Amino acid sequence: MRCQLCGEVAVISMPQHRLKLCEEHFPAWVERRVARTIESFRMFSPDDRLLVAVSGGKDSLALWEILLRLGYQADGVYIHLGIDHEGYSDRSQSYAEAYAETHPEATLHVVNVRERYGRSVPELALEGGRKTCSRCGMIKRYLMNRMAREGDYAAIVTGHNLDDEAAQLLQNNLYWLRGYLQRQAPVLPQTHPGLARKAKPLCLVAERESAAYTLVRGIEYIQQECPHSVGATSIFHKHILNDLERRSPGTKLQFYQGFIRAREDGFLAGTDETPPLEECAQCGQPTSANALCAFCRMLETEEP
Amino acid sequence: MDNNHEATLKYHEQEWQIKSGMTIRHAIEKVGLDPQSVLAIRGKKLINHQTLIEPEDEILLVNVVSGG
Ligand code: SF4
Ligand SMILES: [Zn+2]
Ligand SMILES: [Zn+2]
Repeated sequence: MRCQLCGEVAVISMPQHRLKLCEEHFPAWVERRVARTIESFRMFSPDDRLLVAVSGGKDSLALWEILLRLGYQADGVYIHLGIDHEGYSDRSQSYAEAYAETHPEATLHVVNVRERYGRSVPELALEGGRKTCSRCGMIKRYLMNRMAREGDYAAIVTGHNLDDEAAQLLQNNLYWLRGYLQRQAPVLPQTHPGLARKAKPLCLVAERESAAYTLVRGIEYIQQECPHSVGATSIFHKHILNDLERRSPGTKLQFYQGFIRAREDGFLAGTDETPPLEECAQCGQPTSANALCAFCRMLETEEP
Repeated sequence: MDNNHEATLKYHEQEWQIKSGMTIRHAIEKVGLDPQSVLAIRGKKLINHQTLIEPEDEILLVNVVSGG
């Protein structure tokens, strides 16, 4: 199997793009694709300071690498969740740090939930009687936004890839989660001065392309999965979409891009159910709740 | 038994001895994995699924489907 651009041995075949590329042309292709995605969705400009949500996994490190190579000003934030099973949080932090050490042009901020708030994310979830992942999601969103606000970043960028987005879209469609459909977008503009813009520059890069990119670029990432993700519905949905993809290459891309186009054409207009935002009395972050935001309420009611 | 034509395929904690001469893709399917969900690495280099497995190859499979 040969690269279609130079005839060298191809490292990857992408039937959905009818493309086979070598270890030199493949990463360059991914970088160009991301650059075009950023521009076409007007995600941010080279003047913007970006905050990359870094988990130590393949997607966030690939994203960070691509942004830096494209010349963006991109710092990272790693949130240590206190997941101790097989040293998951410590290990993923060390991958994020190892990457940052070799990129002195960028800064990695580390927020350790247990050190700052006295208990880990799984402990906070247990105390509040909530599912770990739902608590975790809320905590990560809160802390990232806070970091963006304090550090005066123009946007938070996350490593959500095409498979993540397609699986999310499938889930949102299966249950017709209108609010979620409304808010599922490659870029979410700032809706309040205290809420950072959010962008997903990898939204048109398939998960296997993102993994292949980190491998070809020699970026070390944590391959271990978060223990709480075992049996996640999103994984099941990804496998279903991969089945469809095998039968008909390009399905995932079509599914997601069709949705984005419909969204841009106003197909989802009028379904926005987001309530008006107030400032949290405790921390000042915008919230739709009365008085305290979900994060401050959690800390208030769940004292150690 | 002559093992010289065998190669090793590794995935997480699992390990299989496979015959050389078949494609990576075939080997992945043979051990019951989905080729869409894994990438293959030989000697730290990414190799495509059409690559023919050589005797004594040690091939590492990397999962690409993550959740959460
Ligand atoms: S799988 Fe759940 S607990 Fe683990 S990082 Fe993701 S959201 Fe958090
Ligand atoms: Zn090439
Ligand atoms: Zn608050």
